[in-house]
Amino acid sequence: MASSIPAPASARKPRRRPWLGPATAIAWLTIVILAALTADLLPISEPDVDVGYGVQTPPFGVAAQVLGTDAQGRSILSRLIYGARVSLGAAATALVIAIVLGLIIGVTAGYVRGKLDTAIGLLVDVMLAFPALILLLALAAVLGSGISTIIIGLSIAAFPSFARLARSRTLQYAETEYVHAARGLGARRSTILLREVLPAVAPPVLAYAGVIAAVLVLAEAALSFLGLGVVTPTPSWGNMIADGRNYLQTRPHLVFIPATVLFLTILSCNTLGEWLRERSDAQTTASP
Amino acid sequence: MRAATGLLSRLIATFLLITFVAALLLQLTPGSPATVIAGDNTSPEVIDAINRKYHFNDPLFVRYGDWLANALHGDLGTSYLTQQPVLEAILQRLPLTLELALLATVLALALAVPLAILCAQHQGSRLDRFVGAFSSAAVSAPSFVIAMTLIYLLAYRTHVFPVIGWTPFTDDPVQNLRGAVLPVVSIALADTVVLLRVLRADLIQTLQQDFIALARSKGLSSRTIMWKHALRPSSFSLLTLSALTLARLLAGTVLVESIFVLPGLGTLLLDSITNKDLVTVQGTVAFIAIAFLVINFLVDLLYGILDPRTRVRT
Repeated sequence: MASSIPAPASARKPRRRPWLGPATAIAWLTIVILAALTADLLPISEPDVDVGYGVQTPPFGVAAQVLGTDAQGRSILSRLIYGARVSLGAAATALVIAIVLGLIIGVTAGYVRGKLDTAIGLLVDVMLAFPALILLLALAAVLGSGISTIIIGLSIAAFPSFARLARSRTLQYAETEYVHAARGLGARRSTILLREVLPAVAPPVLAYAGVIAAVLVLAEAALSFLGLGVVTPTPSWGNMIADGRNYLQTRPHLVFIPATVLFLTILSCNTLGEWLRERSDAQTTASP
Repeated sequence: MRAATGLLSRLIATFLLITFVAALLLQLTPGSPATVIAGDNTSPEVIDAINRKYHFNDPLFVRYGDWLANALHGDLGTSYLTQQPVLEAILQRLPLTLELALLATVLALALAVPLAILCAQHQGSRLDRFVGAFSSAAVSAPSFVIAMTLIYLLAYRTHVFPVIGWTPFTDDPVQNLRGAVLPVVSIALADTVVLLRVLRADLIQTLQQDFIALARSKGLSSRTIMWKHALRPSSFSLLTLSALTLARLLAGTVLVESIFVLPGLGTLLLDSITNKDLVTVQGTVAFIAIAFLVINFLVDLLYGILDPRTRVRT
């Protein structure tokens, strides 16, 4: 019996095909992103018009509308693709803003230290502890629903994680020999930060982008689902699910097609993100 | 003790910060708050009256001071839509959300602890890998998608559970719990995964320590080693995390409450946002934030009591 507790030496078998998960994730994300970017060139109908095949036709019912039509007779495939544009576009924009903001704030706090660091640390801790959904809802109440509200809200919700990461990495790198050398040679603080510290800090911080992207895609969908994000007729995955909600009993595909696409996208971001993070962690522990 | 005062001063600082932001909410609205309340086509006299009634013309810090003083006396303002005191509305809705949050936390723990023990004991086994893969999938599924899948399969298709509608616990406990199953499961799944992963990792670390090797060499059964020796030192993160989960769920049930049409704190917030009832939004946000801060503070204190190693810090 006692032997069932693993021995200290890691008896863990290496996964048989470790690349399979990330590769599938990359494939799925490539398809979705490419479709979103080239939506105007693809042979699909406009996302907000009745395509004339009747309403709520099931998937594969009509050859021309592979995924069927929604309650207003609009093409679900087209709405998915144009929805990807909105959903992923909002998440990606917010992600970039959050990374830039997080890097600036985190690197500054970690390098300058002192009172500024304490103040930023407190702010970041509060924001990380505070439920992001409440923050987003409060913002939606104040600014009204819409894509800009989403981007602002998601950036505010996401930057503290990056700031905290960037700060801890900066503390690590600020005392390395090459930074001391640069300072000794009389480099200006901005030069040190930009040329010496930032290149060392950015990669491990960027490794977290995938996981955070998953959270942002989910948050956008949740807000749009509640009617506080992207508003119809502009399609987004969240409001497509909300639109289909009333027909869940009779026409479940109206909900489950966008829900599956949303789930697969979040899963891909998570898989890819975990993989990137593991690689980055392994690298930093291998060469401190 | 010094750690406790440090935590307390931190609590007060964050409290002031968050309430200030909550009080500012009204200020941030595009246009004046009075036009948001009364609508765009209102005569200047009415706007003026509203401004005087709600003191919108006072300087910012005066208004924050007033709001804070009232809030500390338990007065979060009165909705100008329903004329109901905000705190009263919150307390009416709180039991439901609290019930959901408590049940979800208990369910998450009940699932996570045995699974984590099994996975840590048989690390790398088929079960461990399956649970790992299932966890990745479960955290990627939004709670509203899980909720709709459950409704479709268990309410529409098989009629095992009621779709919507809420029976208060005091009216009919059985009916109340039956109605709570689907919402609670939808919420708890993601939290189960978080707790499971943390406990599994902590257990695996503990199992590699010398005192476990000693226990094993004494010939103790693996069950005794797991439950009597390994679980306690591995459960600090688990305990704090479950308390934080509970706190987070006070705010995190919005989506599920909206899908199952449950009259909880989340739908109160959502309805007041849709109706532009800003005083209620402000009060609810402040209430949730304060509840959250207090639980966080208690968790930090508890952590110091449970794990003596952290007491030397600060």
